[in-house]
Amino acid sequence: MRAREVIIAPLITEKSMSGTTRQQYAFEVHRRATKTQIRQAVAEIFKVDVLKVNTVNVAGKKKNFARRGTRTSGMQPDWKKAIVTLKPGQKIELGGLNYFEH
Amino acid sequence: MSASTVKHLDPTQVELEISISRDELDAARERAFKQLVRNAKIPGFRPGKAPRKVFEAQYGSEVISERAMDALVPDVYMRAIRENDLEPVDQPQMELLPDEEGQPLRLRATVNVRPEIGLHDYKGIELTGPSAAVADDEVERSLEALRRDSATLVPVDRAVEFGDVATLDYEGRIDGVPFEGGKAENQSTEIAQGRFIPGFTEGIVGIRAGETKEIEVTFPADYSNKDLAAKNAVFSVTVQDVKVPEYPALDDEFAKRFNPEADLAGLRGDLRTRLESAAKSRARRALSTVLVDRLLAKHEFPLPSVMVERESESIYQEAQAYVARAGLKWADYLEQQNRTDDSVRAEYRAEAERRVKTTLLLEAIAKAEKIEATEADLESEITSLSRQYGQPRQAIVEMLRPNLASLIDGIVRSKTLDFLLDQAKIIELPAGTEATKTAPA
Repeated sequence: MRAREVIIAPLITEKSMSGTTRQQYAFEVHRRATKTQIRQAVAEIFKVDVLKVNTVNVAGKKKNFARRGTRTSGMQPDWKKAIVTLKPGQKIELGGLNYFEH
Repeated sequence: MSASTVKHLDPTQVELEISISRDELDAARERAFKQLVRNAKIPGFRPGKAPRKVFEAQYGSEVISERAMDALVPDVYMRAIRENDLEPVDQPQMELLPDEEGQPLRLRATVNVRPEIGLHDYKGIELTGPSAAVADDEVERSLEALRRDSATLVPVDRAVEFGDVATLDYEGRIDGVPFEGGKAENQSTEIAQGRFIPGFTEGIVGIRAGETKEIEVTFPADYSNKDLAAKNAVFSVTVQDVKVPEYPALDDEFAKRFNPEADLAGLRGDLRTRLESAAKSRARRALSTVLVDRLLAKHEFPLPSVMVERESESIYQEAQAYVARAGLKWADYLEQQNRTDDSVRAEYRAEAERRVKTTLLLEAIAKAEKIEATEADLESEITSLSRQYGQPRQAIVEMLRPNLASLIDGIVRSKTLDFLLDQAKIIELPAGTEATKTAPA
């Protein structure tokens, strides 16, 4: 897996933004990416030193679709979230949401 | 902080160059962002909680800049106007000068302003005008008019005489053919000279109630209806009844009809007061006109052309509306008056110049004399309007709310005129001096 495949997108939410003060940045990562792969990918893409990687598997939500007459439900895909802690003093510019467009 | 420089393009137009510092601009942008983010929907954030960078990535920083300028520009403009002591008469033309990195942002505003007016000798102007005094015979005349209006009609059984009130049916024919407007029934009319075309009234005199008579008349050559002018007509007139107006005696009893508390002397007093106040306002109007003419002649200053044009256009529109209401086409009206659109416009323009000049001059005097509309002035104006239109005060206040500024201007203007008239040396011309006592008939 190449770095760009490991890191799918930066996760930019109110909650993830609050981590940036502690050098913590959140990403949506490949379902089968390991912490080591994530560490290497972040280091490669953002040229930073990664101290720690925490991951969590996020279960997709169940969604109901109600149309007239029929009622169907579906699942949102499961995904993996990674929270990466950088070396103090380093940072990642998350301003550009489309960071993987070069 | 913003700074501004003024350049007079001509006496009634200025060009303002306003520079806005980067700090001020940034502060304005931050304020704009705070406003915008409140309603921005950004996934992952509650409304109003997104950081500026995230917001800009989604909506672009131009949105913030635009909003910031919308708020900032009027603000710095107003400040520049105040700092430079300018009085604009219309909305400015704004232009953003090319942006240079690191340099303050510069704005150019071109606006028409009130010219500087050098006031001189507006106090103690000598005026001659009619006296506001009311002569005794005027009071008697209006008393007599009151008496006439309170006449009761008493039917009599005799032929019509001058001064009677008769009820008539009539139909007029020209060459045996009825014409339009020549027919009426049950028309109650006072038999007096000059009411109808010559010969008609005279013809009626002598008819008894219930009788019918043919009256031959000739329409005057200058009769308003051209189809009838100078034609011979025969009116067949039937007198239904004859009444004599009976006038009440001039006594205290009569006075009580108008004011239960008053006797005849009191009624005379009331009439005098009413006539005096009418005469006073008439005199004041006449004097104001003369006064304004004098002031206009004394002062020369350039007029903002926008104001003149606006005024002239509004006079033109009013004239057209007036003609339209009279049921005429504008082109026909011009032809009738033997004028062209251009000549009419030129005339309106001259009038507009006069009005604008008057307004500016009076406002300048008001400013110099610190004449202002007080709360009490406003109150009394509203009270008098409320009485005039017979509407409750609240309704008047609601109606005036959008035009409050012009109401205040009106009050100031009228107070300024009062002030000038007070200051003026007024030489009264005797009016209504012939004191012929008209004996009640």
